Amino acid sequence: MSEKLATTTEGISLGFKQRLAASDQPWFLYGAFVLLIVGFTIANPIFLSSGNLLNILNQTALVTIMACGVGLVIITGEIDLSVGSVLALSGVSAALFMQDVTENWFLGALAGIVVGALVGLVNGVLTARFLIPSFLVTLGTLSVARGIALIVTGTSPVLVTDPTFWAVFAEASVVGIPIPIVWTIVVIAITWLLLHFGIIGRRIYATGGNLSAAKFSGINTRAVKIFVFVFSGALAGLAGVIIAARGHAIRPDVASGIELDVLAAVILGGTSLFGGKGKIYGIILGSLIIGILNNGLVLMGIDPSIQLTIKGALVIIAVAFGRR
Amino acid sequence: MTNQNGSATPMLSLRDIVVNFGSVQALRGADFDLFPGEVHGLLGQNGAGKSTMIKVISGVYKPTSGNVAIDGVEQHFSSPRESRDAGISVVYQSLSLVPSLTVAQNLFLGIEPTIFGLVNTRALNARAREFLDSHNLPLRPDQLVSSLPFAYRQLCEIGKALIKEARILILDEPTSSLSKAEEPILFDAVRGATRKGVGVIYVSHRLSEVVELTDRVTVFRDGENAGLFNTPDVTIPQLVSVIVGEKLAKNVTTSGEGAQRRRSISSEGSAALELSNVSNDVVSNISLSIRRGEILGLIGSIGSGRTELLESIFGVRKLKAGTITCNGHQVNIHRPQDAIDHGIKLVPEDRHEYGLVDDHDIESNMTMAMLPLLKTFGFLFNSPESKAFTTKIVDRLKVKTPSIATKINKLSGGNQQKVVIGKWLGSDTKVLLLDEPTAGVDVGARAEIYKIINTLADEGTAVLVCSSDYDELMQLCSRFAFISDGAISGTADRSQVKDEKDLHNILEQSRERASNV
Repeated sequence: MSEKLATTTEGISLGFKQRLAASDQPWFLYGAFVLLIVGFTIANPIFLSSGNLLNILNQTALVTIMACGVGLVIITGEIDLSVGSVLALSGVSAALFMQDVTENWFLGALAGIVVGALVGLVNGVLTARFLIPSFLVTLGTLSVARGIALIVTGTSPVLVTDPTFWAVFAEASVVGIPIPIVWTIVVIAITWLLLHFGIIGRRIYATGGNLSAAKFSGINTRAVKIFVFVFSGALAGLAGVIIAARGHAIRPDVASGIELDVLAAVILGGTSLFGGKGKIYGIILGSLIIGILNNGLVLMGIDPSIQLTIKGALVIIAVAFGRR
Repeated sequence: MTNQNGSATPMLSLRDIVVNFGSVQALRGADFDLFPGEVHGLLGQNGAGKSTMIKVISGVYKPTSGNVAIDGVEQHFSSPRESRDAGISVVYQSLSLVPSLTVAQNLFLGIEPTIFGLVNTRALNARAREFLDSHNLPLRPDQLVSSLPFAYRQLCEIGKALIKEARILILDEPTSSLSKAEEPILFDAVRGATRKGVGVIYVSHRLSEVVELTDRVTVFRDGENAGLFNTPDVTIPQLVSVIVGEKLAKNVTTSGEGAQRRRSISSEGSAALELSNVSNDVVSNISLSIRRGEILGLIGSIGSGRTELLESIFGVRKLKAGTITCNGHQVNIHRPQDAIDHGIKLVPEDRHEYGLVDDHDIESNMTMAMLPLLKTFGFLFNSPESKAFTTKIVDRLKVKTPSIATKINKLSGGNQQKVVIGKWLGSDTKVLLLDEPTAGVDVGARAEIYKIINTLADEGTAVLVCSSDYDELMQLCSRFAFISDGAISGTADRSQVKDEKDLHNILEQSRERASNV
């Protein structure tokens, strides 16, 4: 009985604010979500049209896909800042591969994803094996990957001419749903499976929750970290392939700064930067908020510079609220 | 012990303290007095109300009702700061020192003597020297805190409290990380402080040191006073029965039988773990053999290499030379997973740092080490199995928890420790390495943990246990090995050792012998 008492007092002695912050539910996220939808609808009723909503999902696909990868990295207690550049390098690689090596659209796409995974492998090995903080490693590869993309293309866009490639990654639709959204759903499903049913998921949470305890439980924490970086790299690669298909061409300076949207989505989604905490539905919700914000601010005719300012401020607010 | 007779008003007096958290009463009318120059022990199981009382005294909680008075003047602390300003200082287990600064810099942190706004280092060191001398604290002002052994860091922490003119010092489990040899250093400092009129509240689960150090003892049970004793008039068994209540007391005192009973088994059993000439950068030439069903006690002070030896066996530290044989087969252990595969499991000294993910639930923690056994094609499609396993272990080890989805940091120390042990029971455990298995665990849960250990040994597990609690070792072990400076300095059979003092003496002798060679 005395045990029970200790348990209960512990729970109740927390203040209201602390309890909200400690809860896994990203409560402020739901609030923000509803508030944004209501606000933008009032500002411009077009916002709530089914056409626009589908448009939002389509536009957000890239961010959501990459947020799944970066989310896993952050749950292990690391960070991946490089995804925007990896996206560009992967897209460029896929386009060049189809231009110079083979015309096969599938191999082209695969090349893009593999390049992304390789950059992830470098991030993972430098972080987990050589113990360089992932913040620095991925800040470095952010620059290196973008640099290589610029070098191999001579800074000019690369054309993508295969119509099947366009269709499979950007233009087709499945039962009326644009295919980028289908890819997003596939990625979410895989991430969800890994995180909540895969033993790798338990290991990811344990590694981020308490690295030493995970090691002492026989978990190969290095392998876990390398895995999440490779996963994140591969997903950034997929995003690069989608962006190349969408534009029928890819510029090496594409999507610079998108890592801010991705990180904002993950952090808004209640993922703890300290590791060990984070849910896939939070990441999806966070991505949607970013998507709605991007779309709504455009519909309201707000200047892109102001959009950038608002998004940056939002990340800081999210971290301040989400902090334990 | 003249102190409490010397002054009529206590320096600190708490009367009828009630603390309610919602519908739960953590304290239901508890009293506590402290006189100048007195060391007053505060005992009780986890949840008995000790920590709540400490938090009332230190201004963290406001009592629902009751009076707090200092020198007879009623106080209403609404923050820890007000309590500190009134001269009350709590020395927590996790110390608040800056390791990269010197002793003097830490002592005067925030109150440094200055010239023209710059720190006057000479005055700083001189004043620190003077202060340390006057309080008989065996520290040098210019020592870096990071270079100090743990016991001396605690002294520095106490010094920091005294320098800010604390009159009431609260020590919460101060010896849980100290070895027997280091305790006197702390005790001397405490006695030194009381000679200057400081009153000390001493919270500990270790009864032997409470009996040794305190003048009076207050026992809490279920949020109420269960007894107040003059320490010289009370024995440890009496204290135990007051702490746990009458019914439980019998279980606690009989657990020593296991060691006696197993002596016959272990002398003929086969070796489960055999180390021969194991060496690396922390231990040298360790040869040791543990038989199936045997509980071997590994005794040494902090820094002797005891924890490091366990970590070396478990694959956390790499071996340079020597072999480990498990059940007759030589095994190569390069990382913990290898050890686990061979049935060798470690319950680490610091469960929060190495054993558990504190803000994850019981199930995730319990299954953390046995994920490979639960998977099908890499997935936990059989997550009911994970729940079933957790429920089974929770029942078997009697973990007191509302559910297996309860987070670890909501459990008491004893129940947390059961989860750490339970984590290993999913697969065959041939060798169990225990490092301070009952640190921060209350008397009742301690007896249950002893029972678990004994049961595992009865089932054939070989147990190697490190502890600085000699009473614990005497109760559990059938044989002892002594370790100092990373080498085994001797062994002794349980029958050769009369009591805890004897054990301490043998350790000292074997250490001297080893250092003379």
